[in-house]
Amino acid sequence: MTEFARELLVASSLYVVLLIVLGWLGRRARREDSLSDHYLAGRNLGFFVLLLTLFATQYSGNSLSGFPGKTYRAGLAYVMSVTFMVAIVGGYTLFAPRLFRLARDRSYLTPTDFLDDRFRSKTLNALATLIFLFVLGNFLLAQLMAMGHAFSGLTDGAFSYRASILCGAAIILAYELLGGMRAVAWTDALQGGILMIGLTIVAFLLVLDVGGPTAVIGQIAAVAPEKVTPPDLRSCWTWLGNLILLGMGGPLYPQAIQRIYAARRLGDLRRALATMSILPLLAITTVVFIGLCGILLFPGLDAVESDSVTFLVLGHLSQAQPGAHLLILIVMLAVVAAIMSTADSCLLSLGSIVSRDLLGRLRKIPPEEIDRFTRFSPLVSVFVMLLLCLVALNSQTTLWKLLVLKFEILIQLSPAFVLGSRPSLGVTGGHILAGLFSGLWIFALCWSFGLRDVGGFHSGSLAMLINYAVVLVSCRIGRGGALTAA
Amino acid sequence: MTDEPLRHRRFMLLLAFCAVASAPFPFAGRPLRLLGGLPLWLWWSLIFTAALAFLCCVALLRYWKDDARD
Repeated sequence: MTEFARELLVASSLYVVLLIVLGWLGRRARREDSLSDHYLAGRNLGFFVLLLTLFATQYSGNSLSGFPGKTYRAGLAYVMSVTFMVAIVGGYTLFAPRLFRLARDRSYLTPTDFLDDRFRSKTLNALATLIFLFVLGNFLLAQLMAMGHAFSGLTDGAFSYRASILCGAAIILAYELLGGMRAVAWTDALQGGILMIGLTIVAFLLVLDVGGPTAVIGQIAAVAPEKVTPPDLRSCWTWLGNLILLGMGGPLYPQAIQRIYAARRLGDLRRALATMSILPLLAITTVVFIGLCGILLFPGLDAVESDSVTFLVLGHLSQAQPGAHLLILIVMLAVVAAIMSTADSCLLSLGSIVSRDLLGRLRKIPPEEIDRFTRFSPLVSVFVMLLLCLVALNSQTTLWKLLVLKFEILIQLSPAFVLGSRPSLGVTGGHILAGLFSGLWIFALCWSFGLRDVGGFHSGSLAMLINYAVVLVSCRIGRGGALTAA
Repeated sequence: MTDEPLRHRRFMLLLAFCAVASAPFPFAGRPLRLLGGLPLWLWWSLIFTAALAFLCCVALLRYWKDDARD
């Protein structure tokens, strides 16, 4: 093991102790033994914690290692990632105001609670629950695998891929079981803070080492001009497709919706989301800059190798800037923090959906008795984590392929939330189901014929537009052509 | 008093326009032109992205009101 890997191991151990302490503090702050307290922190998250937990949850391991890799391959055109991270906040404005109000008045715990309250359709509840479980399961699986690769890579293989997954999963389980959402939000705040500091440091060091954006782009234009030329028409359509896919899909993540439920006051939520709309301009531009510097520093990487460009650039910086040893250590921790914070939020959300929607709703437990499921929450979390660890340890490429599907399937629920939050439109559960089945059917058809996109436009985004059209047309027919919005 | 961004249709259309305009369609397939050391198409995208972020802030802070829950 190298000296640097040993130092990273010591820093990670200290960091883990801090996470467990926060989990314990979260347990001490518990007010009552209820699902709402465990999964939504008693609906008492203030501005600062809410902002950092939203930030840490939204910026996963993929944002720090996947985005630079894509920038390396696609060039400057991947600056589109800045726009679609901003668009996610725009997506919230379509349904969050009404959802927050309803969640306060009717004590929602999971996203399906809203659908059940609004549409009273068992089929829709079951289908939505399955989609949420599929999306969260895949997302958590990806984080576990990323954790395995990142930690074994950062410690030069001193921790094997398998040991990294098992240790990471055990740590997340420990603080989540101790303090529930409160612990997850507090650890997210710590992880989000490290992430912000880490990104600032890496931007600063890269400017010192390689030069500012104009210098880097100038050098790329000389050695690989195709990486900075304007995107072609197909890439522009992909840009638009990504914008729709992420702008509509990002706010529908169950863990994101549950953070709307968990806000203490509307003012805290509004300010946190407004800040979130500005952050990509700083955070994601830095991530794209890492990828651009990678083009100059490590030319000739293939597609798989380019996914490790973040670690290659950080390794280069640690050698090029010996004085910045400690700073690089913080950036490395930030990568681990980004993965862990997304994984813990997914696990908590999965636990709540299994407890409330799968066990509670399917067994027809009355809402006033649902809190007795609190005692099952630890079992649910342990079971889900064990199951996904088993899959991650025997990583199958087919599951990685399924991972790509998650956004395109998730956005099929968009009409249920956006149109469903406007009762004056007269949309019923039948209309939503008709649209949902149409969207899923068209998407499945495209997928089975290998039609991943139409002229650069994602087939999932296309299916969602048809889904919206079916809901609105069937609603209009049902109301004799008098469709009006409030 | 309650209000929400979706009630302001012109504003939401402007927000949607900024989102769509951020994709550099006018520059597709054209040669690279620089402005201040950065590609012109990048300036275009970043300006519309910044406008989108600003409008999102306005939507959240100005047009989302609910006195009973604030």
